[in-house]
Amino acid sequence: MQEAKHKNRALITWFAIFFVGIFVVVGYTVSTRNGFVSAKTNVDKSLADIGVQLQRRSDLIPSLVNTVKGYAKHEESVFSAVTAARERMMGAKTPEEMSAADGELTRSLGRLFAVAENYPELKANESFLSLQDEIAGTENRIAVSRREFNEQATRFNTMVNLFPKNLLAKMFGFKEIALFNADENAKTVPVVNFD
Amino acid sequence: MIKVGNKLARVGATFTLLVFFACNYAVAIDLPQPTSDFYVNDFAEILSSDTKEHIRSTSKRFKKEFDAQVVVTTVESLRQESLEEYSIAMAKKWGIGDSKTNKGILVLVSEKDREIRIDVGFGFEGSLNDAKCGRIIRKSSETLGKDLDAGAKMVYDLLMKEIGGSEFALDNETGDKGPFWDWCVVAFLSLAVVAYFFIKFSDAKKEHKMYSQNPENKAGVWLYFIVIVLADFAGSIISSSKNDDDDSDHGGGGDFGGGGASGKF
Repeated sequence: MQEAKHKNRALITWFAIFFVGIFVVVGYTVSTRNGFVSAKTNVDKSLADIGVQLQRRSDLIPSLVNTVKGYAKHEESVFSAVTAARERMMGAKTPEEMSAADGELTRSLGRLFAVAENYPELKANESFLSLQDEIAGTENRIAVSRREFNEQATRFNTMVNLFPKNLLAKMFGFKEIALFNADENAKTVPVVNFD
Repeated sequence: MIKVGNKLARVGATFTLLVFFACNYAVAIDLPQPTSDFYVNDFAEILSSDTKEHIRSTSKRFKKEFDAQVVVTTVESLRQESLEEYSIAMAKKWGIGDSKTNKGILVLVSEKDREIRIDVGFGFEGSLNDAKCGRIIRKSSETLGKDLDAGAKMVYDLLMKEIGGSEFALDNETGDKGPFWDWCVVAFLSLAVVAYFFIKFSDAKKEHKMYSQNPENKAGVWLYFIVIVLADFAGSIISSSKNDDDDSDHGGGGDFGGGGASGKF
């Protein structure tokens, strides 16, 4: 009789440990997965923000080109460079394409603003000045949102790469995200050069 | 085999962490902490005390009325940092504006670089667009070139007019109720004193004496004393409520998206 009781108690204890163990593992897995999901959501959100700012810049460009054309009719090469770069940007699909198009667009805008410096009437025009402010502001917003993206992506990547969560990451299919690298030749804000 | 795998993973993880921190240190800009005034931080020491007080009191009032923070900072130099990166880093670090409404603005002036920037928080994005900021800077650029103090004040005033609207009076304009109340209290006190003496002497005349000996008068005397004390008390309350200072102002965790405008002078 005593032996049976001992065996029962032992069995119950083992079952208890087993269930608590399962509970802990499941809890940990669930919370880790949720952590991945929320980190990834932040990354996606910041990526979307970049897209919004890029679109904003894209929308401002036609007005800018038209305004400058009104005063500087013969600077065709500059206008076509900007327009072509803008089209490239809109058609870009892969991150590499986007990065290259973006650099080209920033550079061509810089050249446009540099050329505008030669036309004092243009420089006094309120529409032109407003557009210049808005584009400069948008370029800055693009830079800021890219930095934010890199920050969120780094956080996510750290989570995904650290042990022991990296094992779970593999299981759930969370992979490392590539950070955004600025095109080295492009400047953040179109800087007006006098060359 | 498993043991080796674990070690590699641990080394890899540590390395990633170190690289992560190294990158952060490499990018980190050395930023000063805000002064206890919070709204005006004249590190370059180019602002007059009048301008500083003007900014301090106007921004405090603006915070009370609109729950938005407008901060002015001057630095001697940006130390090779880009104006835009430095400015937004400062605005975010100091958390200018409330974390829910993000209504914060930072005006940063660099003395040696001769650059100025207005950084606009998310909460002002719709109302204070880049073009408006650019215009404010352009209007003030000549003044800034000649007189940094006047120029900074000009930028600030134009900004406050823009976001406060016609309803919001800047501090050196009339619209302050304070003096009126002070005069009320003074007038009342004077009347009370005059009335007291008048009654005292008129009674004295009746008694053909210098001072009234009439005991009934004593109640009247006490009444006047009580009235004067109360009036004085009321006056001190009114004037102290004007000088009401919040406990040290600080940022509310507001966030910035990069909107605003920069300019040279």
